[in-house]
Amino acid sequence: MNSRRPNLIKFAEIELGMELPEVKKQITQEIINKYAQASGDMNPQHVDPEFAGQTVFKGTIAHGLLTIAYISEMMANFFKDGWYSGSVMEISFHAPVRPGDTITASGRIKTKKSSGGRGIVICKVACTNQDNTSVITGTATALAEL
Amino acid sequence: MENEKMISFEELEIGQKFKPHEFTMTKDTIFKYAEAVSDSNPLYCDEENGKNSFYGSIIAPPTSAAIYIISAFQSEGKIPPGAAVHTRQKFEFIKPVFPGDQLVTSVTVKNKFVKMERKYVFFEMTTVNQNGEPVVNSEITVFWTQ
Repeated sequence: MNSRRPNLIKFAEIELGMELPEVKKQITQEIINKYAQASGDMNPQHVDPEFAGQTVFKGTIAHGLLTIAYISEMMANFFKDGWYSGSVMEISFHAPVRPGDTITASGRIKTKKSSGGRGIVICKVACTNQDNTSVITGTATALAEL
Repeated sequence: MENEKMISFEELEIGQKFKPHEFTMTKDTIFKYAEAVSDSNPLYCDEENGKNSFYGSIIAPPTSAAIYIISAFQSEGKIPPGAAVHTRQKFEFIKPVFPGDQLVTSVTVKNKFVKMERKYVFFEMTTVNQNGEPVVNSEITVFWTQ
């Protein structure tokens, strides 16, 4: 770290109900394969269509942790340095993400409070697919400057 | 070294601690991960930008914790292919992870249960850096499909 100040959003500028700019991603088998390589998670459920076709999902599905990266990108875009540390993300997975899906990460400010000289902002977050089905939902908590 | 033995739901014990898993975060890992999740945030991808940031260096994307968390599961044996589907996940990002950080992740089996004839396992993980500082705490509940 150096003497620079963290780049934080101002707590006073955050309003309850405010929507975060969305992040939209197209899922392909190539993206899933690339994520498998980068993360080291080569589970055939994700990368082997023949194996995956025999499972309850009847085809390959994206890694759950790929989808939460889109929530993280949305949070970092909005909260800057208030997202990289002192932050929390709690997510439930509801439906599989498949090649061909378009995933939209969205979020809304749910609660804001001050504690220990810091602004704490809790957002309701979700990823939905092109049919408007929620694939993941949860909360993400970031910091803001008081 | 990875253990090739398969882990079964039956042999997991509540309170069981897996062998601590060591992982070194590198620039290459960060670049590959950011590319795989198509996140072009300059704080992850651009070394010049990292140098001029509050952190004085590029940092690892928070959700790249997935890389060492998933391999930490494999320290006691392999999870059967297609066996574990995430149902709930919580991450607490305490400190940023930098290139060169030597991370150690400890996994504890906090609970396992059968609900509606489905098997679930709840794991808790703590990751510390080379200075012994916690960087990420995480919890994951998986649906054991086999």
